Amino acid sequence: MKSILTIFILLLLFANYSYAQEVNVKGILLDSITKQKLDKGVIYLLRASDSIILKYTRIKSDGSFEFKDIAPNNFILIASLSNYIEYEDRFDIRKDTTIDLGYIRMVSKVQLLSEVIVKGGIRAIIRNGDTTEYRADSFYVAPNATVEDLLKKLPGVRVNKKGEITAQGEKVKLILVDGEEFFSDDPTLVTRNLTANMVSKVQVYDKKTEQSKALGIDDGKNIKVINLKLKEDKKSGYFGRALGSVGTNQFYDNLITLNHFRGKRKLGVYSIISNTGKLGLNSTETETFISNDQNNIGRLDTWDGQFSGRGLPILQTVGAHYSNKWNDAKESLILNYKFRNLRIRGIDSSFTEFILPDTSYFTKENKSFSNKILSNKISGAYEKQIDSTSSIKITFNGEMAEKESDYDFRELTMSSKKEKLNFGSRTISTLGKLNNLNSSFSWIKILSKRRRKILFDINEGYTSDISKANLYSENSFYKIGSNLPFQVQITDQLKTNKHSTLLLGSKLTYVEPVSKNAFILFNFSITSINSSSTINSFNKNTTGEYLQFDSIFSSNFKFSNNLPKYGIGYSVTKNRYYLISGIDIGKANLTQKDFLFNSQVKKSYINWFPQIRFSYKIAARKRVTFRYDGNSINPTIDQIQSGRLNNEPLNVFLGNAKLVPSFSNSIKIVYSDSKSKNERDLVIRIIYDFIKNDFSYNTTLDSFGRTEYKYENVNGVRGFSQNIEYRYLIPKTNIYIDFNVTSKQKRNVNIINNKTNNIVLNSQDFTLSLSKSIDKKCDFGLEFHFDNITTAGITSISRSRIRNSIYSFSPVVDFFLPRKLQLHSDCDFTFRSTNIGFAKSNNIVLWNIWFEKSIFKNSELKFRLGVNDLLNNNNGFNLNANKNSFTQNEYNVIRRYGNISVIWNFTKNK
Amino acid sequence: MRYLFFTTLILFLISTPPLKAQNVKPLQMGSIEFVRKINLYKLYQDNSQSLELVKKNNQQFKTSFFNLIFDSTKTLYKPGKENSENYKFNAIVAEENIVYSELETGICFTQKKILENIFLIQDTIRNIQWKLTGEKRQIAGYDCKRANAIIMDSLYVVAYFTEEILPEGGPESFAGLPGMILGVAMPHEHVTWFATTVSILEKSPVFLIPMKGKKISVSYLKEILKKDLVGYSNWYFKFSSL
Repeated sequence: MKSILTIFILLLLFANYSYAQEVNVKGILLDSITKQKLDKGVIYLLRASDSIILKYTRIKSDGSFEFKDIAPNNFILIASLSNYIEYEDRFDIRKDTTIDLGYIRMVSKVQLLSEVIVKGGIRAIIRNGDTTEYRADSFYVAPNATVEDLLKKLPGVRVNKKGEITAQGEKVKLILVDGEEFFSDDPTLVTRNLTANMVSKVQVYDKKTEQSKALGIDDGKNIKVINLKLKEDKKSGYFGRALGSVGTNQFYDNLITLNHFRGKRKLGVYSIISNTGKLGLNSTETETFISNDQNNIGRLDTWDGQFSGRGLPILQTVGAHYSNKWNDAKESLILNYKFRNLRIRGIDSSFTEFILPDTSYFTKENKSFSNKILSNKISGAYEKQIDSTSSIKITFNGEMAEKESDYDFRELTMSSKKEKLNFGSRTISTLGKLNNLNSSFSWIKILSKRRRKILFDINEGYTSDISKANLYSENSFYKIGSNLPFQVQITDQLKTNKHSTLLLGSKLTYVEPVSKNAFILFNFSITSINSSSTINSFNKNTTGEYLQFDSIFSSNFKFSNNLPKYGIGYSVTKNRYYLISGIDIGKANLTQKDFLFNSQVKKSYINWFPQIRFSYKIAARKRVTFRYDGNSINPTIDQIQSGRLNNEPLNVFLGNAKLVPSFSNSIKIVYSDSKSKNERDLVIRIIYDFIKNDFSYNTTLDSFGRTEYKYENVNGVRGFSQNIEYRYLIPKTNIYIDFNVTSKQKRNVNIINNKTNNIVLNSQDFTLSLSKSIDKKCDFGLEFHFDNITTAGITSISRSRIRNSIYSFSPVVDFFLPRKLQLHSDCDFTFRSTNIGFAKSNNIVLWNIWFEKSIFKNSELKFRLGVNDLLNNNNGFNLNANKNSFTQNEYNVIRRYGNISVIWNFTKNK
Repeated sequence: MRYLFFTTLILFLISTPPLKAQNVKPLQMGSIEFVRKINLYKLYQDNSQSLELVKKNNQQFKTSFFNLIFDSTKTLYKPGKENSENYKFNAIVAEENIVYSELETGICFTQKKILENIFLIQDTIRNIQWKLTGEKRQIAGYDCKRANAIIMDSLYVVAYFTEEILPEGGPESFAGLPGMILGVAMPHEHVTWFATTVSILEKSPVFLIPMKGKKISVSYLKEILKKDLVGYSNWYFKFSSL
C-alpha cells in the first residue's frame, strides 16, 4: 500500500514536471469592424525555423481557440479565415507559459478593397527580431515612382538629397534585390533605377559579416542593409530608364539603364554622362587609392579619385552587372564592370587658426585644382556550397587607372596680430598609373560533431602606383613689420615616384562546442605586408633639364611587416543574453631598409586585442548591449624615422625612435527599445574612449611660421559621447517625428614648444525632423538642425576658446496636382554664427524647385522643368576642428542653373 | 411605407451579390473526382532507348481517374471511370489502389494490386510533417493552401488543401492537413493528382470497405516488394510502397 502511494506521489510529481515544460496558447477572433466573433476557420501553429505545422485547430463556435501542451519553441501563429486577411504573429517561448492573445481583430477582404481599412487593419510593418519588413503596397507612391520615392515614405527610413539612405539611425551600406547584390557599389543605381511597383516588400536588417555568419556570433561589424523583395510577376522581364536633361550654363545629365531579370539571373547595364554631380557619384566604394598602409607619406597627390562635392565635376561612366545562381542555388556568381572618366576642376580656400599655449597664428591658403581619372574596374565573387558541410567563396576586384592632377597653392601665414610671417606659392602636377588587385579565398567546413567548424581564409592585396610629378615652390619669409622678405626659398624639381604594396594574409579558425550553448574558438593568422617606395627628385641642370639628382629629397625604402597573431575566444548564447569574449595576441615585426643610405630600422612590438561583448534581452524588442574593445596600434615607420620630404616646406615632420605602441580602449553601451505601436524606436548610446600612449606631436614653431612636428607618446587622450535617437508616429495625425541628440566631449593632448597643451572639444548636435504625407495630395518634410562646437585649448599658462554654431532649417514639399502634375520644392536655410577667428558669417539659402508632368496611363513618360539654386546663393563651406586648430574651408560648387528633362521608364514582364 | 420597405428589401436582395463562400457552410459530405497524371516522357528521360519506345506507344501523360468519397468521419479512395485512351502500360502501379481511412480512430485499410497479387494492409493514417509555404491557388473552385513534406525519408510531396472541406483526408494515404487535400504533386516522381470536380452529397454515402487480398503488415509489404520487384526501377518500388 505504502509503495503504491509512493509511486502515486512520484507519478504526480512527474506529471507536474512534464506539464511545466508545456506551453498553452489561446485567443478569440473578432471581425475588426462589426466586433462579431468569428467561428469558421483554422489556426495554425508553425515552427518558425522551418514552417512545419506543429499543430492546427478549428475555431470553436464561440470564436475561441486553444492549443495545449506544446513544447516550447519559436512559433508562428496563423489565423486563416475565408474572406479575411490572414493574421500572422510570431512569438518565441522558452519556458512554460500560457499565452493569451486576447481578441484578434481580423480584417475583412471586402473592407480591404474599400481602402478605408488599410490604415487601421493591415500591418504595413512587421517586425521580427532584428528585421523590419514593410509591405510596399501599403505605402502610396505615384505611378512609376522609383524605389527611392518608396523608401522616403517608410517610417524609420530617411533618404537625403544625394540619395544616401539612413535606416533606424544607421547608414545603409548595401541594397539587395531578392537577397542578392545588384550594382552593389552604388545604392542609387538600384533605388533610382527600379520602380516602386516592382517591389512587394522592403526589409531592413543587419547583415552579418561572413565570419560572424559562419561562427554564429555577432562580431559587431554588421552593416545595415535594405533588401527589396520583388513581386513574383516582376521577377522576369526587362526594364529600364532613360533620362536626358539640358540646362542653362551648359549643364547636362544623361542616363540610360537597361536591366534584364530571369529567375535568379540578373543582368544590368548603365551609362551616365553628366556634369551636375547628381548622377553616378554616390559610390560607396571603400577601396580608394589612398590606403592606410605605411607607405603614404611622401605622395604629392592626395586625391582619392572620388568626387567629394568640391568643385565642378564632369563624369562619363559605363557599368555592367551580371549575377546568377544555379545548381539548386548551390553555386553563385556575381560580376561587375565599371568604366569611369571623371574630371573635377575647382577652387578651395581655407583659413586656419592654430591655438598655441600662449598665442595663436593664422594661415590662409588658396588652392586651385584640376583632377582627372580614367579607370577600368572589374570585381566579382563566386560561391559554392560543395556539400551540406562545406562551402567556398572566392572574391576579387581589380582596377587599372590613370590619374592626372594639377594643383596651384598660395599660402600666407600670419601672426596673432595678423602680421605677415611668410608667403608661399607652389604648383604640383602629377601624372600617375595605378593598379590594384585584391582577392580572397575562404573555406568553411562543418565537422562531424555538431557545430564544430573550421574556417580558412587567404587574402591578397596588391597596389602599385607609378607617377611623375613636377613641383615648383617659392617661399618668402618676413620679419614682423617689414614688407620685404629677408629670405626666399625656391624649389623646382621633377619627382618620380614608385610605390607598391603586397599584402598576403591567411587565417585559420577552429570552433569547438563545449556545451549546448557555448563554444570556444581558436585562431591563428599570419599577415605579411611588403612594400617598396622610391622617390627620386631631380633639380634643373644648367640646360634647363631635370637631370641633376637631389639625394636629400630622394628616397628608396623597402618596408616589411610580419604579423603573426594567436587568438582565443569564448562565446555563450542563452535565450536572454549572449556573451562573447576573447583576446588576440600578436607580434608585429617591422623592418625598413633605406637603400639610398644603406641603413636599416627594425622594430618589433607585442600587440594585444582584447574584446568583450555582452548583450541582454530585457523584453522582446528591448535590449542592452555592452562592448569593450582594446587595440594596440603600432607607430608607423615615418613616425619612428624622419622622412625627407619637401612637399610642404613650411611643415617639417621628425620621427622619434623611442615611440611605443599606443593602446586604445573603447567602451560602448547601447540601449534600444522598439515598439510596434506608433513605430516607436528609442536608442541610447554611451561611448567612452581612452588611449594610452597616443601618438601626438611636439610642435615647435619658429618665428617665421615654419613648424616642426616631432612625434611623441602622450597620455590623457579621451572622449565621451552620448546619443539619443527617438522616432515616433504621432497617433491619428500621421506625422512622423525623428529626433536625434548627440553630445560629445573630446580631449586631445599635444605638446607645443615643449609645453603640454590640452585641447577640449565640446560639441552638441541636435536634429529634429517631421514628415507627413497625404496620399495623392502632398508630402511634407521639415528638418531642424543645430550644431554647436566649442574648442578650448588649455595649458598651465593660458586658455583660448573658439565657438562655432550652425543652425539649419530645411523644408521639403511635394504637391501632387490633378492632371498628373507634380510640384517639388526643397530649401535649406543655413545660418552660421560669426566668431572671433572668422569674421565673415556664411548664411546660405539654397532653394531648388521643379515641376513635372507625367503622361501615359502608367506615367511612363515624364517631363520636368526645374531650377537648381534659385537664389544663386550656394556656397561650399566646411568647418573642421583638429587637434589644435580650427579650419574653415570655402570651395566652389554648382550654383544656379535651370534645366529641362525627359524621363522615360520602360518595362516588360514575362 | 410598406411599398418602400419592399422596394428596399428587393433592392437589397438584388444588389448583394452572393459572395462566394462567405456564408457557405464548410463541406461535410461529398465526393471528389481526381485525375492522376504520370509524365511518362519525364519518367524515362534518363533511358533513351526506353524513351523512344515509350514515345512511340504512349502520349506524354498517362491519365487515370479516381474517386474519393467522404463524410465527416470516413474517406474512401478508389479507382474511378476508365480512360479508354490509355494504353495499358504494364509498369504503372497503384492503378487499382483502394484506401479506406477512419479519421477518428486513425485506422486505414489499403488494398493494393502489385503485379498479379492483391494485398490488404492495415495501418494507421500516415503521420506527415507538413510545411506551410504561404502559396495559394484554386482547385475545382476551392481556395487551397500549399504545404510541402518529405515522406518515406526521401519522397518530396507538394499538397494543396482546402479548409472549406472539413474532413482531413486526401487521395491515396495523403492526409494530416486541416481540410481536404485537393491536389498532390510529387515533382521528382513526375506524378500529380488534382481534383476536377467536387460534388456535395446530402446523405452519407456507402463505404465499401476493401476486404480482398492477402492480409499483411507494412514491413512485410516492403519485404515482398524487395523480393518481387527485383529489376524494376527505384521509382516503381517507391510508388508501390506508397
